[in-house]
Amino acid sequence: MIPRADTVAGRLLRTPRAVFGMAVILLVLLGAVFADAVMPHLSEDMDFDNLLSGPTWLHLLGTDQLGRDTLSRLILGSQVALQVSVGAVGLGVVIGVPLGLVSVTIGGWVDDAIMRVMDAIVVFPSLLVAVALAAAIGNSLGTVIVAIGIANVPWLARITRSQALGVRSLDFVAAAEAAGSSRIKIMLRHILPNAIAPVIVQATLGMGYAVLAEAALGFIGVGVTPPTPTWGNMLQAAFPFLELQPALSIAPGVAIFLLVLAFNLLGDALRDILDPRLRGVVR
Amino acid sequence: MANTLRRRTLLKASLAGAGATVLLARHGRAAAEKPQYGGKLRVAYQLAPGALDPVVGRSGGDAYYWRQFVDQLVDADPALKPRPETSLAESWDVSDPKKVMLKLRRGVLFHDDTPFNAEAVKFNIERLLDPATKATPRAAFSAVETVDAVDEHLVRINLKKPWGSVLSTLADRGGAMNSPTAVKALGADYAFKPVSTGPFKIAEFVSGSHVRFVRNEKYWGRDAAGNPLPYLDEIVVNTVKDPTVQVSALKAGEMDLIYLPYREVGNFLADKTYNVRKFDGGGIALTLQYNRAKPPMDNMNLRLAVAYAINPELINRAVFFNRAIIAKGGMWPTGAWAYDPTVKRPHYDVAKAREYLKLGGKPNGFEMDAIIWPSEVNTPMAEIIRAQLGAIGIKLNLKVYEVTVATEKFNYGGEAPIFLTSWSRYPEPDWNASLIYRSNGYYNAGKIKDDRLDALIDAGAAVADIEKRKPIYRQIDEIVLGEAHMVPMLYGVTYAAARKNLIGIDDVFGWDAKMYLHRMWLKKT
Repeated sequence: MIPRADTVAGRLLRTPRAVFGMAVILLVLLGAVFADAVMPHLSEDMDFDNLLSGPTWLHLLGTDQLGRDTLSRLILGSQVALQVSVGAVGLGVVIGVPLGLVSVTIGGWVDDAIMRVMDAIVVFPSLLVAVALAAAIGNSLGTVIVAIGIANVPWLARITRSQALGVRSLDFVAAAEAAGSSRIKIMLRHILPNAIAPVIVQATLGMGYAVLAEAALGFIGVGVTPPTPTWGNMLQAAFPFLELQPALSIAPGVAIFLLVLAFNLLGDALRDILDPRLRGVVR
Repeated sequence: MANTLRRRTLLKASLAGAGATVLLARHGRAAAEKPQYGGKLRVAYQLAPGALDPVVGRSGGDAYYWRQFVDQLVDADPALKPRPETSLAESWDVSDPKKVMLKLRRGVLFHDDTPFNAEAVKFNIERLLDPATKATPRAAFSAVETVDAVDEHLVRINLKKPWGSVLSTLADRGGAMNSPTAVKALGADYAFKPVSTGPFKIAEFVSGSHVRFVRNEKYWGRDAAGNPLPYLDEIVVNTVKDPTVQVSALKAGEMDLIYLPYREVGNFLADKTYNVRKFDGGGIALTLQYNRAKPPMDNMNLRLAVAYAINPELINRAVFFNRAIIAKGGMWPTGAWAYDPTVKRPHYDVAKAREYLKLGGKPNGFEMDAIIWPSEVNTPMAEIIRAQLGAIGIKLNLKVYEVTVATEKFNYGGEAPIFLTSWSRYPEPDWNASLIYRSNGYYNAGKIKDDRLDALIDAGAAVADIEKRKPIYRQIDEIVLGEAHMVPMLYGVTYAAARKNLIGIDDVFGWDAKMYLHRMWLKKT
């Protein structure tokens, strides 16, 4: 079953960047879902005869200070990376998109109020919000998701609003209004479907950002606590041994790099495909 | 098993080897060079000072700062042996259990030109005994009744009870002399603007950044050749939290002297650009501190099960790069006169651990909280302990707090039955005995009354003769280790590294393994 060339899926499959991105994401997804089956060692097993080892046949990506297998911990850590990216972006969409739509449909002071709050969130450094949240409600996966999710809200709300504003002035919306459709129906049936493409793009890019943010939080010791491995806390634990065993830092670093790159390439390709103004432009 | 033995032997061999390096280095420098005056010494240390006044500071790390500008009433060498030639008291008499006589050095001035005399000593000890001062070492002076200035340079301390640890105690915070004029004038501000008699005086204190000391031109001290001390113009002690940053700063030439993280020791020993010195037993790298009032650690057999289940050798290998020392005695580590490696105590043995689990009525294990404070060594250490205890069915939930919070929550909050922590080097056994083992001790988390221990602690503190004190502290060890009140697992080894042009690094460690910079000098290149 090969998708037709003119569908979105078909165009994605013909875009090498997108294929690369989707392949990496799929690989990480499979690893995360089947972690127990594919991990070569138990992530907590300590091999005291191979401490801080480089890549060997026994430990393909080496071991950490406690002799734990880096590859196994990366695989387990991918669960956190994906949970955070999906969770945080999901939260951003669920809150941000309706806010954007409400802004446009109601307008006036409601629009102003919502957008000024969004501005306030944007100017506040999101990592700081995360640190404050962790101090207030404790270190957990949920904290990280909420903190990064909040940072996603204003971007999604703004994009939804700007798209919806454009769509609202189109004739078919006026026609629906004239036909007596309710505001909610117009919002959901007519405006949203025509404004969603950039939101999808932004959400995809946001997932890359979420992976990066989770790593940053893990590195400064906020969020998911050891012994649960995350790519961020693996980097943090590796940092003192940067000179002694570089492989320990390189492995999670490359993992973060690849997954963020994958989300960005996919998002980029999606934008090109979904943006009508770029349609047909030769690249 | 054979494998384990081989590793132990190797470990010993490598430690002996390191010791030999130091000896050779000392030997090579035997032909003493003529010291050069001037220069600025730049030192990095991890913790900011809690206070600069030694009497009110509560953090063990404060000594890195106050040591440099104070003189002790009784100074001590690295083995905690009193050293009259560097002390403010020239001689003393402690033979009478009812009083201590101190004959003071003449012609000594505080940095503010206040004369140092018997009245000043009386003022200092009375200040320390006044509850309003909130002096950290006050408990260690509980034997003092009154102080008399017999004449300008003779002090008599009248005692309520015998005070066996008097000389060691005067070598610590409580024996640091502060200017009465400055103390009276500054009030609470004195904590960060102290004035003493030492070779350096405080020139600048920038919170969280550094403390700068400059030469005391009027210092009384002379070196062996009769040259006036100190040699250096300035010392800057920088607060640098991250050990990795300290190492880079030393390598980049921004620092002259730092303490080495264990992981860097191998590299630095191999690098001929630096001198590396070590102090065996410079601290207690890991100790299990129990709250004996909190279940399940109110059960002696379960406490012993935990102590037997932890293998310090693997911790040493993974966390300390085999450079720490497996603890064989109690809380007075290697090099302290009270250290006794022959005392019966828990050593790693899983079979015994399971046996004690059965005796404790929990053959299949149990679950409990453990407090830790995060650091480059504590965090991985706790992970290993969790895994090792997990292997015999003890599930440990780690509660992580910053160090001062952790100490408070464990000792006063009753927050967990066990604390995995480290400890400073206290070679005078009465300090740890009074603080940790006595029923009302500050660090006795369970505050359980134990008449046997209280009597032994009193007996140990009452005599001055070390040979008479030794068997008493052995008995204390037998109770404390045998019933698992507090079980040290690893003694630390403190490493310092300096650029080659820093002369005097052989004397860098005081008896508490903290930095002592009075006699350093920088060779001009």
